[in-house]
Amino acid sequence: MSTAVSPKTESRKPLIYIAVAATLVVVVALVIAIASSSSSKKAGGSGVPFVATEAAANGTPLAPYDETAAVDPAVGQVAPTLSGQDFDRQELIIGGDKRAKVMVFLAHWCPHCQREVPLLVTWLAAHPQPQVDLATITTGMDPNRPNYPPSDWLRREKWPTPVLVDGNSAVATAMGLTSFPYFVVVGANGQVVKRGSGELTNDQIAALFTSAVAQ
Amino acid sequence: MQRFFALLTLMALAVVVLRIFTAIAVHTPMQPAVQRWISYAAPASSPAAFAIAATTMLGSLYFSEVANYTPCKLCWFQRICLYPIALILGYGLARRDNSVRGPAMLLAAVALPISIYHYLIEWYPTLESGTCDPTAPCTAVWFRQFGFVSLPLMAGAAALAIISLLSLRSTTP
Repeated sequence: MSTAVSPKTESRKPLIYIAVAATLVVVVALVIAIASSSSSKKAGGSGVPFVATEAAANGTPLAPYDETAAVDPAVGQVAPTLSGQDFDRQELIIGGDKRAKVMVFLAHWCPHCQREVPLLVTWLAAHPQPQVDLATITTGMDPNRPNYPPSDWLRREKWPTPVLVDGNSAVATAMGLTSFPYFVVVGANGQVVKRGSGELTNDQIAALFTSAVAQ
Repeated sequence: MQRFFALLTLMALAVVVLRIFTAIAVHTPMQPAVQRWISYAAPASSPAAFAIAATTMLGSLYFSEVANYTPCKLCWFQRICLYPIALILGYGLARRDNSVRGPAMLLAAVALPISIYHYLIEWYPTLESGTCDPTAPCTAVWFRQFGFVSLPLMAGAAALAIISLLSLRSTTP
């Protein structure tokens, strides 16, 4: 006696084969992913532990920066004095020292900051600025985002000056940051000379430092 | 999980390559063999497209809700297109209704150029603007598995694979 195979069962056979094959492929992918992630964890090793310490700003906060505005209301206003810690947890104060400065606000995950940093490092190495201080603030930090911690990134890029860690974004808010990278030029009298954001060319970097002492 | 979803993305891209190969091969002397293969695989195209759409939706929810990757504006546009595909195709499968393939392909076709643009500005951020939005910039790259598989590539590969699979039936004699 022969066993009859119904046409319906026969037509479902390819579907079953494909479903089994697809399931196998997904299982293999899962196994590869788990195996490779556990081996990369073993190989991984972090450097000096980074702590996103809180910073503070003393003084009247600057209005949020609007690049489309014809006149920046913050220009001429005395910039708040910033205090906090650097990557080595040393106290760092920016402002109140009668020195002209260019403040640079960077976010570790921002691709524009990542592109601007090597440009700034190269430009500063070629054009030392004895009259103007470079003040750097790292803010907008998020361990879930790429290129964390910022200390590893900026050390890797050979950033030339100490960096103020703004773990609570208090400094960024007080200085009116609305996008990255963000620049605030402060004169020797402590007043804001100009603000700007976005990637800068070498000429624009030069203009920024010139404006700090042009008052 | 990033690597797992990246591997699934590579598999979705393999489906696309296979689909392109069949589309070309039906015009060559290999036609009988290819047609036979298409008739063999076509009944599985809708369930496979549904599986890809559902995996894309779950993966996207995993990255935003579990891994805490904040979706940017372009991520949301892609989600708006891709999430309904899983629901539409699921409904079609349950009701044995093939008319849902058109709307599903249309949604995937809308998602695809958004994914391509998103992927491009990840590599060339100045195409969009010179600054990063502090909350959820579209130019920020959460990860790049194997050096090139990022979130928009995953979405784009899913959209392409869905289009590839759903277009399979139309070539069946």
